[in-house]
Amino acid sequence: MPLTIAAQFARGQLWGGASSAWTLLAITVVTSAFALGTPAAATGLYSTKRVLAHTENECLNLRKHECRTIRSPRVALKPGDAARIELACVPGHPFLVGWDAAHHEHIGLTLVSDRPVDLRAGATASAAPGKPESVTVLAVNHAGARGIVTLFIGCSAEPIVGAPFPGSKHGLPTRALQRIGN
Amino acid sequence: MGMQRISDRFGRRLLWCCTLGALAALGPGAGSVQAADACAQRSAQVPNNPCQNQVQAPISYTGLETNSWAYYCTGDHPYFFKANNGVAWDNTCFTSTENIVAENDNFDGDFTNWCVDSEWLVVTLACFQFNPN
Repeated sequence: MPLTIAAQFARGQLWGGASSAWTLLAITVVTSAFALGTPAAATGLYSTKRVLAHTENECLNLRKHECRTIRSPRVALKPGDAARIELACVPGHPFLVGWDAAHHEHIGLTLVSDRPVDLRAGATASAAPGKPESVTVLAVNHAGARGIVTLFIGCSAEPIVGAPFPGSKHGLPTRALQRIGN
Repeated sequence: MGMQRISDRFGRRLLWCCTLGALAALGPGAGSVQAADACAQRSAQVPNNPCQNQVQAPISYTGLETNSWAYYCTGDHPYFFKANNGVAWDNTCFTSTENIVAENDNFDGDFTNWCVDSEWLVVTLACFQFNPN
């Protein structure tokens, strides 16, 4: 069911449900409407009220005491804007497990930092990395309406071997899909 | 020891989950997941290189969502054979495209949930003891 922005803010669990502590390194908003092309052509594709909820994939199957979730503040993007959101793990849980987000359908998310070190086939991790691992995600507004994104990362005290890691997260353009069905 | 313990926990937990049909505990759509044999469906046979099905951690999708994922083979079968159809999942709601350029003995690709409801994605990789790439 589509939600208004006001309703989304009222439903704290839509954007929250995680530790209140966060280690936000940077949010860089890049007004790149010119570089990306005007959003006018994409206005009709997306249902700009739909929100894709946070589904806790940042910690996969790990138990709460094994993986700690850290969240970013809500980031608002104007039409055509892009933002790099960087979040870091904390010293007690320095190893990055994964990331997830709550975001409007028309906000596309792409990983722009390196994935955690591949620890398979005998590779080893230090007892604790020199600094807590971090992730940088590029959020892009593909439509002609304002959009919101909140980033979540999962952090563990021990390194994880072979856990799936996301590279991007996007909502399908449901307004366009509805046209196909009509 | 810490790394292997976490890896073993992933392996044992997921195999237990899928073997005993406990996927219903995962929530919506999980009951529709079927046992997958990625080793049997691969397009090229690799002689003298044992293949092992490795079930990956379940991923939760909202309805009408598309994400890209890197999946990894682990343990004593740590190699995924790229572009060999060695990945299996329940295609009731999900489609996939493999991103071969991004792979490094692992699987990389997009998975799209075309269903309106939230669904669980459970992927099985065909994993090899020796590097077939």
